[in-house]
Amino acid sequence: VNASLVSSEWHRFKHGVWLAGGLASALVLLWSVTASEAGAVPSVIRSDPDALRLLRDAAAAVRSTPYEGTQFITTWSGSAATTSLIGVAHSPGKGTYTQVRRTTADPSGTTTYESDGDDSRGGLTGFTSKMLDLMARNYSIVHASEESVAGRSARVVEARRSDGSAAGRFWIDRASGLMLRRDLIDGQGRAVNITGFFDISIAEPRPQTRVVQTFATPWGHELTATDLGFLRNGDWTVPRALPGRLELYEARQAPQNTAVHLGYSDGLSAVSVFIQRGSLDKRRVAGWREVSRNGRTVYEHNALQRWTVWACEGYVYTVLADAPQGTADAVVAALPHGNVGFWGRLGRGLTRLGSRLNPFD
Amino acid sequence: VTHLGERITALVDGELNHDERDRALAHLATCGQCRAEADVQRRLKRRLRSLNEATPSSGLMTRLYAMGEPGGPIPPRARPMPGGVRPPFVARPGAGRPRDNRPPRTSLMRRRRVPRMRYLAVGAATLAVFGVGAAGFAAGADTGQLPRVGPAVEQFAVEHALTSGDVPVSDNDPAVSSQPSDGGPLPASKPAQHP
Repeated sequence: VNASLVSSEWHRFKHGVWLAGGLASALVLLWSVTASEAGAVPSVIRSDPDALRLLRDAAAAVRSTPYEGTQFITTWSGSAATTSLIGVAHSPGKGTYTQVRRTTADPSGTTTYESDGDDSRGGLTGFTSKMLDLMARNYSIVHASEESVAGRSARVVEARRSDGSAAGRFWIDRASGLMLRRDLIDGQGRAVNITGFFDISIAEPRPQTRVVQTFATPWGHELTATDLGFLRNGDWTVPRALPGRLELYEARQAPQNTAVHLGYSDGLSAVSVFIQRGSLDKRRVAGWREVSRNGRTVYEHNALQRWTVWACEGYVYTVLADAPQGTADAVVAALPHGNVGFWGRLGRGLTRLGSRLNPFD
Repeated sequence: VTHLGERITALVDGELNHDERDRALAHLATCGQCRAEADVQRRLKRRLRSLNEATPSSGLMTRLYAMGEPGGPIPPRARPMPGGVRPPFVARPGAGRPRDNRPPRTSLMRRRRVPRMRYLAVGAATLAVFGVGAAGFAAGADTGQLPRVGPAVEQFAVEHALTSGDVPVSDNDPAVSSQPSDGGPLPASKPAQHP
């Protein structure tokens, strides 16, 4: 009896040792994982809360303030620049008219109307609330100085890189809180894109008598994480991030399912990737510059925005970038190109077979 | 004269039906050649039947029975369990076991029996891998005729602008394309001048 008792106690002791060892191993594993994850998170970039609040308030002010004025957009591509003038008139609760003009006095371009709604911004902000979150994560938002824009006193807010250089600059109207101007600046300190008011009147706009050609609304079908998962399973390339700390912050599907729009941003630059199923109809890019990049033929059109179009393995990619040239080029290089090769085709086929056999797909 | 030929064998084996048998016997009554052939075959058959009845010698039977006798108990497999009681040592029996007088296994026999299943399994696995690979490669091909598409510039520009906080302006607008690309009309306060 004594022998069996001893044996039983011995077994209990051994069991306890195993249990304690296992628990200790699990704790060590947990600690190492959390420690490495904590190490992977970049250090929090310090921003001036008051400067950040000014930007948030500007997004709210542009929706609630009546104004009318002329905006300009200038985009540099290399040493050349393209400028456009746009008449803007916003009535809170109603909507915003924008009309492209040849000169400040010649309203000959297309008139676009965007009605005020949950998604509307009411004119120039240069960012959305989602982009502002990304901006606060990637840049240090600080007060810079005070300047005058379109004859109005404005507070300047800068988004600075970790090396202290300015990547974006915002002029906020001291009186109304409206965003009067936004500059996007590359790593060499050169302006990439400037959007701002040439003149502005903070008052209810005159009654509009223009014929509206385009009613601007974002594509209605917003793609969820599940939708994106299905797309990835079905060969679509949907990166979660792109070079230049660009994160996927918005994904939508065009009406009649003709294209998928993936919106990437680091808070300042905005890059849209449009993907269509099919082969490229070259008539649609007639007049665009045909160049070879990374061994493939792409079609470029640099004007107010940087456009790059190419076809690859049954998809047509269109990259539309409000970003420095280097970032735009890196995005194009990071997306699929050329022949997928034997292993690529095999992997794609196995993925297709798997999705066909999956009863839950 | 038509002889019975192969029907003699059938007659001897009793495989002819009633009518055929009668006709064959009637022919034998008149044809000496066929009768002689039938006699030869009957004798041959009797001889073969007698061969089947041969009994083995008693010595052979004794040796065969000895091979089938039960041996000793099979020793338990010694597999020590962690924390378990070690099984008692069992002496391997063999003293009372009859001598193994089966022909010794050759190395050829061993090689043939055991790995055959392994070869089969490897062959089946290889076939499966190649089959799945071929199916995957075939399924990975570009799917037929694709529609010809291109960027819907106006639509894409508006969608991009609305989701990124920009003013919805398309590059295709005639008023935009007519603008000079030398900097255009900029306000006096432009701080970031290009070099």
